[in-house]
Amino acid sequence: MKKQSSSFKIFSLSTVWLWLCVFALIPIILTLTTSFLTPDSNSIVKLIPTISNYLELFNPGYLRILLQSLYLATSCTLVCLFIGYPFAFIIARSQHQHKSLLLLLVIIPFWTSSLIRTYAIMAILKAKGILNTVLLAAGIIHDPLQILYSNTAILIGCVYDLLPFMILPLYANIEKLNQEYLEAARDLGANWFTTFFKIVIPLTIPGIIAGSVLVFLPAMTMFYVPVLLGGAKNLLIGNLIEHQFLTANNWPLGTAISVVITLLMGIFIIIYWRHSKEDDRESLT
Amino acid sequence: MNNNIIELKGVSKRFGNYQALTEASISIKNGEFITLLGPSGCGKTTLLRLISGFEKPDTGRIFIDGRDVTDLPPEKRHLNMVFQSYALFPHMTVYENVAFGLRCKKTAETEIQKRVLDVLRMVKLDQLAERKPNQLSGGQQQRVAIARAVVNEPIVLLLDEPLSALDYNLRKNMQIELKQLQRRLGITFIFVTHDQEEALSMSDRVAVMNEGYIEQLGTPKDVYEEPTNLYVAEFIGETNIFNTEILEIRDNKLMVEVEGKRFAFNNKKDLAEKQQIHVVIRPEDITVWGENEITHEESKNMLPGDVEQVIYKGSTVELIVRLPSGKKIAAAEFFNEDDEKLDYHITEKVWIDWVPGWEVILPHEETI
Repeated sequence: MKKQSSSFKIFSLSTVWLWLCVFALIPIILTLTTSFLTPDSNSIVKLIPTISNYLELFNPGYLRILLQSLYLATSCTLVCLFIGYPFAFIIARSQHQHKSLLLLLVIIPFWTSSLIRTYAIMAILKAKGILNTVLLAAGIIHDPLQILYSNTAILIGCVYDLLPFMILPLYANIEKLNQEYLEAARDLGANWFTTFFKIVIPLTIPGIIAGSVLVFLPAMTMFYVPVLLGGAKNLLIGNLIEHQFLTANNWPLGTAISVVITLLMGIFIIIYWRHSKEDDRESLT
Repeated sequence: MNNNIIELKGVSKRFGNYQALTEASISIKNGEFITLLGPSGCGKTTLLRLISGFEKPDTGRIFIDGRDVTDLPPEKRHLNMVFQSYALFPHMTVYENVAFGLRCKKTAETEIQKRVLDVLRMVKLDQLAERKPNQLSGGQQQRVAIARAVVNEPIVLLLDEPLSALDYNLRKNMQIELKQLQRRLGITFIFVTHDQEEALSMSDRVAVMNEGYIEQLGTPKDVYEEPTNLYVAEFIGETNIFNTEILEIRDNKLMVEVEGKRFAFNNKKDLAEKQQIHVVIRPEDITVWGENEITHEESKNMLPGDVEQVIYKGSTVELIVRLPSGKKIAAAEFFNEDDEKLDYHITEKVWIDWVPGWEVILPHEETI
């Protein structure tokens, strides 16, 4: 009996390790290695080690793309937070039977490929699209709005694709927020405004951070949204990587960009992690 | 003006299909320590939440200090509540928690500091003002919750089962502390509990509640010694209940047969002949006699039985005596110097009686 359970343990643990090695460790090693090799248009890479791929990233053109991507990801995260917070709050505070339905409505779009959903946004935003048709028919505008192929369109697309990643962690956090805190605040004479900003927001910081990380990271590297909604003119980090791999055929540069982005995100996560760890330690002493 | 600080007139509350409170009327005097006592689901917390303003009554009016507050939200009522889970804000220090109410009222920061430190000193927590709630023990958190409420100088303090999360010894200490605090502050305390011992030992008056009704409102002595119905008698303390009927009434004495013996009881409640009644006797009012302690003549007014169980409790011995009918009677005998023997053994034949007049006669109720 004991022997059986220990062999099962070895089997299950080794499966997990194997999985992680094949699908996480090896790809990371390959990426890292490639980023230090010399590009070659015939055989993808030449086995000559170099750091020139990383030096090339200091090119102002690439830095501009990085800043633009950071700007888009930050705006997207903020917009998601402002839309998602009230949304999550309403779901978490609604009656039980409505709750499941509302959550389902948030999740349903996930069942469709986000590429298809991005095409749907195109159909809505384009010059003769649904939005313009409705607004023109209603007489609100007289000339069609030129939203498609602009930064606004990219932002709309990103927010639409990533909003659920903001709503779900916020919902989980607000949902388990003890109702008695809110009642205690009111009992002590706090109005709605004070209760929200002094009690609800501070107590849902973990959800706000989790949601922001989940939105920020993919927003940095989404490549098809800028291509479809922004036209080719708005190049972002994701497009740059895609371009290096598929068009320029410069895999080492593409992997070097990926490594830098991964490190950047890693630093964000470590800062958040260290911060939350400190809070925990503080509360234990 | 009367000196009722809180008055409820015919207040009812329903949640969906569930009638939480039915036609509750209660007047609470200024400075009183009043306890709402009952099992879970009896409506005691609903009653407290109606007073605090977290629930709105379906019918009836609520008055605080003579003013109709039925439609006022909690933040506009001059009361404060101590929550069952304490609900201390985890991201604030003890000081900030206690200062929260005063800051909401835009009190000057210098005055806040003085009042917060005063109240923290009163609950002996001034040394821990900079701690976060989760760095405190249960008893300390409890004190912060009380400090956070009383610093606002409420005219009434509402306490929702505040001691239920504490262990036995700490609970005993907090009971005494709460009682002292109430005397010192001189304000009304409305205390919710399901613990009858807690209710009896702390309160000026107890409201015994059941299924949305206030069954009895009286001093601890009243509800214990003169329960108005079977529910109150059974809920508070242990009881022995005999179901029987009044055979006749002679000289305003009820002639009743209990377990085959005739008794004459005082008629305190204007009961009529042939009426079905319950005779209620507390275990500590029952005296148990050994076979050779009494004469044959004395045993004529006593009930015979066999000792079935002996539970030694230090200052008392609790007995279960089985009567010939099979009915089991609980009796509690106190040790005292001049007392006879108290070492009963199982299956021993005994006789039981009680001091006439200590029984409580209640009109018949259908029991479940």
